[in-house]
Amino acid sequence: MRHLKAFFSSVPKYLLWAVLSTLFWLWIFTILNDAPAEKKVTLYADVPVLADPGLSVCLEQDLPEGIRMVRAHSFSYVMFGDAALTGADIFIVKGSDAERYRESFAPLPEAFAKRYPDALSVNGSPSGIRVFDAETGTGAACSYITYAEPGTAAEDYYLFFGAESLHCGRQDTAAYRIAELFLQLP
Amino acid sequence: MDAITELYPAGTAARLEKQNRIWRAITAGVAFASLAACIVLCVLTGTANAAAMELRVCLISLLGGWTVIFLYTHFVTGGKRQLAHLSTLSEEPRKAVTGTVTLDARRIAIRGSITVQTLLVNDGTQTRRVSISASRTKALPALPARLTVYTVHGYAVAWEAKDAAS
Repeated sequence: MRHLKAFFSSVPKYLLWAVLSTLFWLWIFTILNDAPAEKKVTLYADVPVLADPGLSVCLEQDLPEGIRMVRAHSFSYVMFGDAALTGADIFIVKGSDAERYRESFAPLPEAFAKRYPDALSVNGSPSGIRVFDAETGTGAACSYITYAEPGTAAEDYYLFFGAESLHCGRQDTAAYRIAELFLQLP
Repeated sequence: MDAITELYPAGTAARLEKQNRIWRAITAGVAFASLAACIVLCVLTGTANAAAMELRVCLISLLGGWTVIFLYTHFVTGGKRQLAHLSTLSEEPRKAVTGTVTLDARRIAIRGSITVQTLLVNDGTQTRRVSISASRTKALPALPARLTVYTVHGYAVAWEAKDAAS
């Protein structure tokens, strides 16, 4: 009884520690698992299922110089705000949604436009590279992304570069290199 | 004449201090080991294992912290309180009360200090109450017994057996 009373008198301390230590380490891991936008390439995919962190790990295999990490998320990851979404470097969206997000997309660089002559045009210039063909059911990174859930009508998906991306320029081409890697994934 | 039995024999303070140092070292060791393990796991964290590492670090931190709280509350603080109590009992003069001594089984935890029990000393005309550290009751003879109990500030520090005739 005496030990039980002593234990219960200490319960607030144990609970306080549980809360504080958990919050502290969550904060530390948020810092560890993130990097400034200039050192990170972010890919957002509007798909039913995305294997996270599997896809990120795969895209980090050959990081461009100056890039510390690649983060691949589905759109549901940013349900409470779209600041992260608008600043993303690469988008994977349905062809039917391309017009809806057109302000977020940048035109394809010349090298990509030449290599993908059938690119989807948005804002009057080629912008989207097809990454999933609904007719054949084949596409890039199918091991990591479920483009069409069983029982639903499949749609073509396209890869776009972000208009506000820091890595889609002449100096910094990291997003292009990550996109090339993405397009080669099985 | 019967010999006086000290409840706090010579060397008690030194023994308590040594115990306290050991418990402090163990507590600090657990704290540093937990922190070191968390830091190592943080260093080993990558994109692939981030979620698993986060869970491990949270668990190590939680259990390590709880162990430190337990050790500090029960052993380090307890030892410090015993030492502080002991320092007040080294003063003179001692008072003596003689009578038939019984021990009240109730334990009273004094906030910020030690846990005490009460000795009831009946000299035939009145019953006096003498406090005794709960950790020292094992040093008493089988009770009830006729004893002279020596006290400092109302706490028992020694006892001496008395035969019924004296």
